Amino acid sequence: MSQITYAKVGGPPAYWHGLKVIDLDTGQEVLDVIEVDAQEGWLISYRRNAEGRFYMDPANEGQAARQRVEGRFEIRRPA
Amino acid sequence: MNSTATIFAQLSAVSASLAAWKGQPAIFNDRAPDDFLLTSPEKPFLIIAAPSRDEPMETFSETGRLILQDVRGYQRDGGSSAELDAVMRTVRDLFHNKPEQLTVTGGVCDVCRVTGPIQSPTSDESLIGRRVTIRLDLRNT
Repeated sequence: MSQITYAKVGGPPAYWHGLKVIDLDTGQEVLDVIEVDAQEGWLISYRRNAEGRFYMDPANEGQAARQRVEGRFEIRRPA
Repeated sequence: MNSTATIFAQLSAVSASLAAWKGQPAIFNDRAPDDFLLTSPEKPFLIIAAPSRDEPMETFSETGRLILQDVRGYQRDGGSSAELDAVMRTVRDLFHNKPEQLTVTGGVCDVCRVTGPIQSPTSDESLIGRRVTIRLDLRNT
């Protein structure tokens, strides 16, 4: 089965829900990811506040705060 | 996750300022019963409208909903909207930027923001109306 290199909430791929994104430098799963390109080395994830909640982007009313992170990632299907 | 139930629970804080119906504060879903309106209540009553927006808000590992839902307030037109305006400002303050205070069965509220109160049109000319729109970002737990 071929390795997934790109995924986004809502697809592609069609089986996007439950995918795990692993940071290859730490070995840890990256949480709150909504889009990832493992080939180009970036992902976009929602940010959480000090209380652990998603929050509104003050600079972009109506949108949850998010961040772009660059690194080495691997997209894994759920077990 | 039932956003209407979440809103209803939080509105209990304004119960004392509302009309009563069958021993309960006059907070209705969608519309007020005709029997209630025929009593010509003097105090305000509230209607929790059906959501005007209900969309998925997800990550790869989390599921949730983004919901927009109105709470409308009405009162008999006695020449002043001061009482109704005060109730609706209190409704706004019960929700705006207070996600941690909301009870969500099966989830948590991450974001709660409110616009209004603004005028809410009525089909009954004897009533005045106001509405607030509540945005709820709910996340399943």
